[in-house]
Amino acid sequence: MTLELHEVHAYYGQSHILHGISLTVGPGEVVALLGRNGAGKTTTLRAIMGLTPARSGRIMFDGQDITHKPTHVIARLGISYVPSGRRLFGQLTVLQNLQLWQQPPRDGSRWNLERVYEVFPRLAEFARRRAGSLSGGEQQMLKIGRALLANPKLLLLDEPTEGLAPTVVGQLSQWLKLLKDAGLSMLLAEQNALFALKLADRGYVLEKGQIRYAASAEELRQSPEVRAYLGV
Amino acid sequence: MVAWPDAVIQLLSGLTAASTLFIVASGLTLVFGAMRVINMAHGSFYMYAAFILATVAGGAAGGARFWVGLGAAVVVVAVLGGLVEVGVLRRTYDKEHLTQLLATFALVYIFADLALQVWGGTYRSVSVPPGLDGQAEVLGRAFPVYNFFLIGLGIAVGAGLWFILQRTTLGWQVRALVEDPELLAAAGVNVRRVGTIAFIIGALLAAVAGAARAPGITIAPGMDTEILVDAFIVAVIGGLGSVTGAALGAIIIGLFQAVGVLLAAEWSSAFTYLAMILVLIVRPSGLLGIPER
Ligand SMILES: Nc1ncnc2c1ncn2[C@@H]1O[C@H](COP(=O)(O)OP(=O)(O)O)[C@@H](O)[C@H]1O
Ligand SMILES: [Mg+2]
Repeated sequence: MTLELHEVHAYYGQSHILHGISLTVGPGEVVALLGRNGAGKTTTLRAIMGLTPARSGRIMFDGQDITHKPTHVIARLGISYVPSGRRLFGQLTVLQNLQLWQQPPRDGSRWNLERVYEVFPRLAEFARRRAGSLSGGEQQMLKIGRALLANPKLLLLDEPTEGLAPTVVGQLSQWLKLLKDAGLSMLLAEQNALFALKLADRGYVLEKGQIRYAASAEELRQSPEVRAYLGV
Repeated sequence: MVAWPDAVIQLLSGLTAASTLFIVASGLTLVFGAMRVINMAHGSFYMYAAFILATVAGGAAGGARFWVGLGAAVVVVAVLGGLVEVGVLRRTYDKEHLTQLLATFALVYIFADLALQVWGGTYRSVSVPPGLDGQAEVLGRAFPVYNFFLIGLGIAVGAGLWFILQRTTLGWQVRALVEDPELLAAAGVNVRRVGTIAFIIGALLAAVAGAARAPGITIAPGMDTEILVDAFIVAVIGGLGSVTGAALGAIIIGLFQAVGVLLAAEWSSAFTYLAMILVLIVRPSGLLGIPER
């Protein structure tokens, strides 16, 4: 599994948002995508998923050019997107939400309902409830659980800590560590740099749609410049 | 005073009307529920099914060819539905609602003119298929056997739709589509395909209703817009997007019309609008509709 972005430019209508983003995520790597609100983190993830397709530049996944592929094809190739906020199908049950994501197992990734329920017993308990009735933390479990059921090679996480109570943020950190240790690659977009850099191997700092710093997580944590920019 | 066996007969007539109304309106509301499109050409699908059936099984040909005609009507209209979605509607999803409405409105005229070219302006009729003809005795009164078939068909279609929407992956995808199409695509689902399938099911429901209702009515130009208005009222009363709501709306309209005939026959169509106004005063989004945010 390797994800490579080369000079990606993306727009919303006329507004030019991403100005030539180049980044890579290697096999088993957790890479942080940091930056203030409005820096272009979400747009970068959307470009990868084909939701806001790149107007120029190239996105390669596992040696395939996915720049102009439709979103569902990109998803089936093995990229699972965990969007920010409460994006789930509130009218469907928890179980139906999970089953909509289910993809056949692949080499090295054999997630099924049972294993997801082992990690998140709450989801088994609430399987027949409407997903819209879950609490913030439970919705986060559902969003990660369903992404795993797709048996992805790469997880794109957008602001997973947003709006979570501190205790749940601690749990989230443990879940993601578990997935990292299992060898899952991740691109983790976060405003909460401290959270992301604890987990990540490397990181990029975005500013106004451009990459301002790229370094190991350790270096980013130490750099006074980065700390000042990110306000940590 | 109305004798009560007559009241029961009226009730059954009301349910017969409700059954067809439900089948048509469920298609309209399903398409709206999945794609937020009001398909004005829905009534055209209904009319085409009746004309196709009449072509295959009309007049002297009649009889057992009814079922062949019904099959042909459903298949042709389903294909037509697929062509409309892929060829026309797909180009309008990223436009305003008004554009979509106008596009389907244009189709109403195109289909009507095409029908005139193909079938001419003459009236046609289809007889009730053998086995379902004749009268049954209900409380000493006669009631057409075919009407029981129509009531049963409505129940069967309702049960089938419930099963698809609640119990199959396709049904969940259709329900998920309207909530968040991007998210559904990110789940690896081809959302265009789901939209096309939902639209074809909608067209198919119009066709089933049009063909099943054909015996006993005069098949003629103009039945497209007539049924569209009724189906729209039913769907609005039930809450656009809700299939269960469409069932409730159809029963209310069917019964209101039946009671209307008993009380004041010449006013019976006014009862339809009266029912709609009463429901919308109490619940502006319809009985089971979800208010727009
Ligand atoms: N749908 C949209 N239409 C127009 N501009 C948008 C849209 N979504 C985001 N933007 C703009 O794009 C820029 C980057 O946004 P985003 O990628 O969401 O940043 P981040 O996720 O880093 O907070 C911001 O300036 C934002 O205002
Ligand atoms: Mg964002």
